[in-house]
Amino acid sequence: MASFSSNEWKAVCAKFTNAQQLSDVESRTDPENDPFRSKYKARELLTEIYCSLKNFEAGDGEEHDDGETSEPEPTEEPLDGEKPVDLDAFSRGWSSDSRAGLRAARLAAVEYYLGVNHVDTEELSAGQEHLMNCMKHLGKCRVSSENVSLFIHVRNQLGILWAGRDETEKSQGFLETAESIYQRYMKENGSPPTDMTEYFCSEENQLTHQERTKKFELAYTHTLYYLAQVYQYFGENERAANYCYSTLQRQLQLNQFNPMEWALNAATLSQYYITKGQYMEGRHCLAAATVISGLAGEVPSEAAAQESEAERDRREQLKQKRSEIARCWIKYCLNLLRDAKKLLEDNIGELDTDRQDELRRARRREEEEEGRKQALLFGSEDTFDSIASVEEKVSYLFPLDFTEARAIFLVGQNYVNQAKEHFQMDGFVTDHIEILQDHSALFRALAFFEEDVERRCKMHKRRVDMLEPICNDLNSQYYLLIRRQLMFELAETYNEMMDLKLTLANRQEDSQSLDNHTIKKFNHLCSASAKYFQMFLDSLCSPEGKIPEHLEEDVLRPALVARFRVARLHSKLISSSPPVQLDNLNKALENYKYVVQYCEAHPEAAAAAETELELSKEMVGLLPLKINRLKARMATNN
Amino acid sequence: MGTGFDINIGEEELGIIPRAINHLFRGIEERRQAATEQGTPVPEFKINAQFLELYNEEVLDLFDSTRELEARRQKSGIKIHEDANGGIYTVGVTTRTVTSAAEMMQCLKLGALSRSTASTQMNVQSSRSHAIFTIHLCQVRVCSPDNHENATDNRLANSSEINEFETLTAKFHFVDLAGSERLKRTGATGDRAKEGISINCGLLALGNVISALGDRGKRSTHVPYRDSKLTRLLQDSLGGNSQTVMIACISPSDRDFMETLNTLKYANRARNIKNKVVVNQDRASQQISVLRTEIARLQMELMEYKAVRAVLVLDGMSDQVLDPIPSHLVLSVC
Repeated sequence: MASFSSNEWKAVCAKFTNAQQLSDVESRTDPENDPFRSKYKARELLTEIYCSLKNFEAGDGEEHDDGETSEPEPTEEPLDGEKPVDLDAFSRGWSSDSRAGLRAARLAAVEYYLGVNHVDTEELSAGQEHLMNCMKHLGKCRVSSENVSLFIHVRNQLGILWAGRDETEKSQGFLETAESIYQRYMKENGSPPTDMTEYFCSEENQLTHQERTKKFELAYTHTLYYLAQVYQYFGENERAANYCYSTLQRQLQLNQFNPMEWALNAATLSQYYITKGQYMEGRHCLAAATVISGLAGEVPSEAAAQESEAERDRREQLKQKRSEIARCWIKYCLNLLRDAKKLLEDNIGELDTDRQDELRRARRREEEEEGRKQALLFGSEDTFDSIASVEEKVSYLFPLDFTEARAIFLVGQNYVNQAKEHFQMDGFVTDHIEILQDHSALFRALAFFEEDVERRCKMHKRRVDMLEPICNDLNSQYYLLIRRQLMFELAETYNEMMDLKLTLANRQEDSQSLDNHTIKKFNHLCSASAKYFQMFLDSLCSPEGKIPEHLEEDVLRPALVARFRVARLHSKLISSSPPVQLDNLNKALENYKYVVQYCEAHPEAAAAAETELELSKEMVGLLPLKINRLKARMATNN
Repeated sequence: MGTGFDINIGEEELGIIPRAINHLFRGIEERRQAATEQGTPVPEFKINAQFLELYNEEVLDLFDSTRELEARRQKSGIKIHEDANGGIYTVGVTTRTVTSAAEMMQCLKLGALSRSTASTQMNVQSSRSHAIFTIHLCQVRVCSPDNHENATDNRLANSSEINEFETLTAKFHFVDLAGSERLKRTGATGDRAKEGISINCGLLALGNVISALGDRGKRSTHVPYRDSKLTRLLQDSLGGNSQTVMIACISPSDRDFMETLNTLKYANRARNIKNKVVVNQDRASQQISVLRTEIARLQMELMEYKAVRAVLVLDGMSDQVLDPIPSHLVLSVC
């Protein structure tokens, strides 16, 4: 039976190499008006190779007549789609040692490259046909180290193809099969598999074991990465996250990664885990991100940056990306504190000691049961320890008292300072302010755990000191949104402080004998709060100062709440002068009325501020009486 | 980019940018004319243009014709800066002052040419290149109460001066997003399946997959942006107080199907960017609870008041002035 002479085979190999060259290299410089020129040429060569293979080594359909053990040609796989996990491929089919097996693998390889070629030239149907032919040829073979690479690659390509057609289920089928094949192969065999490019190359040009392993593992990494996208498409975010994790982990293990790129991805993945409340996983991702980002090297010094533009860029890049990671850490700390607060607070927002005890008990129980096993594990031998030591610096458990909360707060604050070094106000206003807002939120969350009222007040004062100057410095045209956020936060913070002062005062024996100093302080806080709420409301008005008829959805609730608060704050101002009291009460009434009237005119708005509306209605009913009484008193006293 | 450069093209075939530019200059001319006819001071217009290309973290000035391509890529000294007074602005970018539509089109042409030369030599890895053509428009005119037009213009009103002049500014960004141009990458014209699974980008898009996992709405997390420079440049146009209109250019031709689909998807995402004014608003709060107590107390006062009155009426003393509620209750901090 005809087979290749060594010269003929060399010619085939040369043709293949040529085709690769055309396809991968020369195609990049094809002209705009003939962009696939090289690809078409490559295609011709591949087709010729295919014909040669078919004609030689075939003996006109005498596959079984060359002394092979009689294995019947395995039944064909369905033309469309994939049978779920067809692992028969491991036990049935031609062995790749056999002539038939080798021939089938080679034909499959050519079909593979033809398939990819057609996909590249946007001939998807033809591409699909070739790829399915590849599958057919492979379907006759048993999985072995000579062909497993192709088994994976072709399914990757088919996965991509079907995803591109929005038939993601089909895509999933192919990719999941590739996954199973890989896993089983590694379990049962594991030796570095032949790469497809080696089918048509001479002995000398064969790849080393290392190179083979690298290519194979890279193909599988892509399988996982594609599956991550598929699962995300189906909304299976948890699975998708797992596959993203696997992809990242493999990149580390195979040493195929760019440190900063990898670190940013890990940090971003941590944010996913944080939104799910999985702080152990989130912490691990962040710790890994921190360690791996260190591998990117030192930040070039100022001096070096002055001298070379490249160095300056590198400095900017590294600083920026490391600061981004710091910001992810800030969110970790902040969310951990906030989630703990949600678990511990009672219905008026204070720490519930019963719940605290309950959670403490639960935690002790978990510790006794040796807690949860760590699901994620990044790293390689060099990095395991460094990652663990970064993790040790902050807990992943919900803080249950002030000491624990403070520890987390300090870690967060440390990252705030780190992030601010790069994201300075001059140059990065928006980012800088977001970091400050996070810092303020850290204080707010910590204050929840602080029992001492004076100290709590001090924490809120820190927030005010941080945000007030900024709010006033910002250009009101360019930073309208941010200013509104700051105004609202300042208003609420002053309000909080006012309430705390009140609590302190009420604890004293005689609530009437508030000394002047306290009253003054109280009023100052009260007015400051009202001022900022009013500023916020004014920012909603037109340039001429006209109140908006209709409040946009994103400002609706804040606007109604602001009105409500302004009303309340005015009614709380302390004054011994009746005209002043009257004025305050009138202002209060005016604002309560606004809430009621707006919700009447816009019924859909009522849902945005139910409680405030309910209470406003009551106050609108009650305040006039109070006002009248005051007026009457004023009249009699004159 | 919908540029439709050819001067031989008729009006109906012009792309969006030439149309916009023509409209702009026509509008300028109309205002000048109107002022002249009415005998009022003619407003002054200043129009600047910038043309930037962004890919990965590199910013290219497409108006910079002085340097060699490679040198240009080596470095730009271009900074995107943001300060408390000026919002977002660029430093080190060539700004061309333009006085006519033809001049503007010429600028655009040169910049686009510069871009396409760069792209063919681009590294295969950097597959995301955006181009941004920005027009800054500044109008100085006499401030008068009749000037009701253009409520959309950002105003820097000189309210402190009694006398007259106001400056109106506006910015237009024309953005050509990455992959929407039929650039060549390893032979393929345009990325296939950008929203599906990307092959040619290798694992570069992994970050995009990961960042899409989180809960976008909550803003309780931080996402390190890949396209941070693009986002920064467009920052004041996305969200905030500026009126932003996004025009997504699509094609009815089936050859452009993928580009059309991707553009629509992008536009849809951009549309949903809503910036919350206030992030955290606790509904359960001590304040509400305290306020309820207040109200309860007030209601009790009211009942007491009514009760006293009722008794007095029954006793036939209704014509007496009722003693108002004792003062201590009025002054109490409730």
